[in-house]
Amino acid sequence: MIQFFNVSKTFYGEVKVEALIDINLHIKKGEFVFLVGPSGAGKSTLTRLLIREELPTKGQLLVEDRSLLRMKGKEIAYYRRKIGFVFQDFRLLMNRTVYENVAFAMEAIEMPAAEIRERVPAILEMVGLKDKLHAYPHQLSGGQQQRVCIARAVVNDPKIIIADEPTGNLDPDNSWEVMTLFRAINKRGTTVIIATHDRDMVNLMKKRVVALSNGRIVRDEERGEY
Amino acid sequence: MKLSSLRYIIRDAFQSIRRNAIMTIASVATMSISLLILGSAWLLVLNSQHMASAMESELEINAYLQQELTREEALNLRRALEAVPGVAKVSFVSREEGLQRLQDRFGEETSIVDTLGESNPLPDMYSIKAEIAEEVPQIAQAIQEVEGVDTVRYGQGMVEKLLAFTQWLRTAGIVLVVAIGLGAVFLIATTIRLTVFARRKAISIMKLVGATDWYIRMPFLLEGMIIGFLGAGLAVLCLQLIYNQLVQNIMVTLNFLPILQDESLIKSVYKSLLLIGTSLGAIGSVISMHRFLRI
Repeated sequence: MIQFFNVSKTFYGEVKVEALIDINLHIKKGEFVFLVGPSGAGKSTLTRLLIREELPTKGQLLVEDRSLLRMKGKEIAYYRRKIGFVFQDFRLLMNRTVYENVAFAMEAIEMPAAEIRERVPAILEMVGLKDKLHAYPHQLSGGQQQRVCIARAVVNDPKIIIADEPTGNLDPDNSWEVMTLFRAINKRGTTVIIATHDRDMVNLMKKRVVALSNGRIVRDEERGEY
Repeated sequence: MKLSSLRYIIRDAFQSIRRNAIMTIASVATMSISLLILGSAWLLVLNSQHMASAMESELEINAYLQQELTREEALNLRRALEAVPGVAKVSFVSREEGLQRLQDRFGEETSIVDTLGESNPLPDMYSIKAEIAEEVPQIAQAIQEVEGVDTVRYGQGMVEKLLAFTQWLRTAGIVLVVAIGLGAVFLIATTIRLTVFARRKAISIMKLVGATDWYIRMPFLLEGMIIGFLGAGLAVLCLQLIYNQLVQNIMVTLNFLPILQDESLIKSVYKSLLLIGTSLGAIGSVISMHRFLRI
């Protein structure tokens, strides 16, 4: 489903940074993959390539046999509808309620109002927030906010969920809640890719682990550990 | 675009106007102050140009005829004068009329007719208006060439200065309006960039969930237009109030000043300001968004 062929990404700023070097990685449909490694190893860059926020400097990147390098304008917008993205800092709209934050993602891709009214409460129930529909983000705990973010990511029924440090701002209990949620989403057939340096979580989950260091893949194990 | 999408867009635009009330008020105020300044400058310029035209329309060429001509010969000269290119209007002033005018100017106390006795020293003359004020000197020269014309007077020296002044007034007016217009555009663009900047998070989320660029732009476009229209409306209202008051005052105290009162021209200034405000709001939003859409 996702194929990296000799992908490199170099940032040319004041100093040249080789964020990813010669990455070869294949992820099958329905897999659950952890990207691990210290800060600056290239995890975030890899996720940003996948949501087409950045383009590879070298190499080829295919998602569902389509090259991300040749997409433009509207194609990028439609491609992103297949992907749900979860941020470390949640990125919720603070002046909108939980319901509105999730509905926002459906409105943005111009879904009919009736479907929004039906689906948003259902998704929020799935993430365990059905009694917080009309709360504002600042009234929620970090874990609850992250669950809103996940609800927003899955509400359009994406084929792939990508999360960049989703538990980075959460305590262990909340982290575990969030991970359980990801596992449930994965069980329904959605491919899940999580960049994290949460060692305990990775060891508990016993999923595929791809370890990055200095922009290179140094380890790739099924049912691996950190 | 689907109907429900249109509903989201309109709702979002109004919601954002309401929820960012302070920002909205600031933008409307900036817009209306900028356009008020622009509109004032515009009306000032239109007035000064109106004044220039009024002064120019007073310009006349006086062609004094040779004393030896008979009345018939003098009257026949009209055709020759009308044939001079650029001449708009020719009117004959006989020596008797000329004397009468002179008498009128001196007033009742002194009788010129008594002083001069029977002899009238004035020649017959033609008073000529030019189609274009700038051409007065050249036309005067051409008239000088006409057989039977003795001397030509048009306020030599003064006229050239006046024409140079009115020309300067027109150029300065255009420069002023353009400069203030650019300033207004800059000010408005900055304000709009602030409103867009305040919502960059919403834009980035929309981008990442796969909204198309036009869908993201629409609420901003609409919001920009509404703010632009409101700001311009406010500016026009103020301008109207101030200008009408000013006109009334000037008509009473400085009634020799030729104030522009051409309703349709002033209305078209107001309409243009509304149009400029609305489109600046729209264009400003789209341009300010450009940077945030490149995700």
